[in-house]
Amino acid sequence: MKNQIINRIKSNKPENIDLPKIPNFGNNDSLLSFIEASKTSAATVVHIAENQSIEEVIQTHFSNHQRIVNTIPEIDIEGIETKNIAPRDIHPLDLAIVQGAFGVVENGAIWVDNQHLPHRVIPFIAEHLVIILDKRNIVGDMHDAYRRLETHSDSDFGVFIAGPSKTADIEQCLVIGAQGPRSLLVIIV
Amino acid sequence: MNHAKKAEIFIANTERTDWHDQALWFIRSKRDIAINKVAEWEQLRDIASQIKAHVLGNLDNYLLEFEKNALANGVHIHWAEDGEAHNKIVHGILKKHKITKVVKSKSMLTEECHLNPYLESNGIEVMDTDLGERIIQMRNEPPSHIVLPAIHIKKEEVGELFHEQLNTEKGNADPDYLTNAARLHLREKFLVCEGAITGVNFAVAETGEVVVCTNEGNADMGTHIAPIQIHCMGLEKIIPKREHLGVFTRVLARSATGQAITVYTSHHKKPKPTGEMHIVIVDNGRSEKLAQKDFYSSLKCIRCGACMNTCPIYRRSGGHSYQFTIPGPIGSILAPNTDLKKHSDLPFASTLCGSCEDVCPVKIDIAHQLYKWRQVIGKEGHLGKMKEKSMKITASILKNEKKFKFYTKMMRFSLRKLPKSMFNISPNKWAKNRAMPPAAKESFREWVKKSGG
Ligand code: SF4
Repeated sequence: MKNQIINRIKSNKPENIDLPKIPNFGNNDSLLSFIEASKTSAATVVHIAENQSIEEVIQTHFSNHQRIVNTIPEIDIEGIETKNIAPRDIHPLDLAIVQGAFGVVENGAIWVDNQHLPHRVIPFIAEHLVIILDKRNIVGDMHDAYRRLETHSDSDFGVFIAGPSKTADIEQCLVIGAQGPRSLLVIIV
Repeated sequence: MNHAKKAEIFIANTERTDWHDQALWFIRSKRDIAINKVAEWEQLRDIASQIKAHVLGNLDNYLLEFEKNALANGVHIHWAEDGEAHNKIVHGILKKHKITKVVKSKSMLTEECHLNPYLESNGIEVMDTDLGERIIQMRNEPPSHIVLPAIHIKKEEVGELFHEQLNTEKGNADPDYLTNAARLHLREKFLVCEGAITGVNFAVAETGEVVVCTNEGNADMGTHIAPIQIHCMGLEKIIPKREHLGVFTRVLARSATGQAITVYTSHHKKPKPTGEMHIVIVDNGRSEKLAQKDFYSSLKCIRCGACMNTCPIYRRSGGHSYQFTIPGPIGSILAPNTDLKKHSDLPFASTLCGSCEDVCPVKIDIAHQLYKWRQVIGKEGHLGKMKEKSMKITASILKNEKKFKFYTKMMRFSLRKLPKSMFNISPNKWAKNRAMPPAAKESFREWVKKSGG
C-alpha cells in the first residue's frame, strides 16, 4: 500500500521549489505585552510581589479546593499522589499546578511539556489550572518559540496553552470552560 | 438536488439567511482585526504558501522521513489508499484491543472517509466530543462548516435538542448553561473511553510528531485518557521541520476565528508510557491530484475556513447546500475532482469576486481554479445541468465574454466603491443586504485574457 502511494506521488509530484527562509521578525518580547496577551486569551495573570509567596497567591485564588495535583516540588501545597493511578482516576480534580517553560508575547501561549507532568492529562482534566512562569522566560513570537524549543530538552508530549478552554460552538457566543479547565491563573515569578 | 435548489430552500427563510450571513461576517471581521496586528502578515502568507509548495514537490521524501522518525518514536504507522482502507485500519486497531467505545475530536478527514457510520455498523460507539460536532451528531447531520460545524443551528434549537437528549431544562437556551451540560455529559464519556481518535493539523517530518490545534480541550482529554490514541491524517499534512510550525501556528487560528492562537496546540511525539499511538496516513485521491497542473495547489489547504466565512455565496446559502464534506470555495474546487458529474454545479456557486483568495493563508488561487473548473465542465458537456434558475446569470456570463467582462468589472467596482444600497442592484442576489469584503486586487478579466480563456 505504502509503496503504491509513494510511487504515485513520485510520478505525479510537481517541480521542486526551494524552501523559503524564515526571517527573524524581532517581535517585542516584553513581559508587559505578554501579560496583556494572556488577558486577551481570558487568563488571569499575577506578577508576584517581593514579599508574596506563590502559596499565598494560590490560596487567595482557590481557597476551598479539595482535590489538587501539585507537580512542582518547590511549592508547598499538598496534593494527591498520582504516580500509581490511571489517568482517568485523577478525575475529579479541582486544581492542577504545573510549570510553564516559557511564554509567547504574540498570543499569550505557554509551553508545558511532559517532563514536568506525571500524567499528560493533568492540565486538561483539572477544573482550574495554575501555570507558574519565570519572568525571564518570555519570547516574542512563535518563530522564537520554536527556536527556543530547539535548545529545550526533548519532550514526548508538549503543548502551547493559551488561556482556559473555550468554545463558541453555540451561536458564536464565547463560553469559557468548555471541556478543559474553566480558568487559568498564570503566576509570574 | 443541486446547490442552487438547496440554496433556494435555505434562502427562502430570509431571517435565517441574514442571521447565518451575519454570524460568518462577524468571524471574518474578527479575522481582519487579528491580522492587522501582525505587521508581517502578507509575508507570512507568502512563506506559508511557499513551504506548502515545496512540500508538495517533495512529498514522497517527506512522508518517508516522517514515517522513519515516527517509527523510531515508537509510533505505529499505517497507510491507507482510500477512505474504506482507512476505516478498516482504524476498526482493526480497535478490534485488536477489544475496544467498543471511542471518543473522537474534530477531523474533516474522518468525515471525508465516513468513519463514524463504518465503526457504528461494526458495533462500536463513536462519540464526537467537540461541542459543535456533538450537536450535529445528536441531530444526525453532517457539519456545515469545517471549523464551526454547527454554525447553522440556533441556540434555541440546541436548547431543545439538549432538553430531549441530555435532560436540560425546557426552554433554557443559555450558551453557558448548555455548554456546561455538554461538558458534564462528555466527561462521562471521556472517563470510560478506551480509544481516542483525532485529526491532524500538521505532521512534522523532522521529528515524526503530529500537531493538533483545538480550543475546547476535548482532543487532549481523549488522547491522554484512552490507552489507545489514533491520529488520522491526509498525506498532505506534512511539513518539513518544527521551525515551519512557527509560520503555520501564526496564520491558522488568526485566519480561522481571529484568535492569535488556538487554546491548545498539542505536539504528540511518543505514546504514553502505558499506551499505544497510531497514525493513519490517507491518500484517497490526493496523490492523483498532484498530477493536475491547474488544481494540485488545493492540496496546500490548512482547513482554516476563512474562504467560507468571507464567501458571499457560502454565507447566504449555508454549508449543507454544497452536499460535499468540505463546503464553500475550497470545497467547490475539491469536489469536482472526486465526481465531476455529481458536483459539476459547485464551481458555479461563486461570483468569482476573489475574496477567498485574498484571505487564504496559503494563497491558493481558489477563484482562478473555480474558473478553470467551469471550463473543464463546459468541455465535458455537463453545462446542461447549470440551467437552473439561480445559475442562469453566471452561466450566461460565462458563455458571453462581453457580458462577463461587464459583470466582473461591475462586481469589482461594486465591491470596492459602492455603498450597500447600490450593490443590491447587482446580479448577485446572494449578496443582498451585505457589506462586501474588499475585492481582489488582481483582475480576473486580465487573468482570463492572459491565460487565453
Ligand atoms: S482554501 Fe485557504 S482559506 Fe480556504 S480553508 Fe483552505 S487554507 Fe483556509
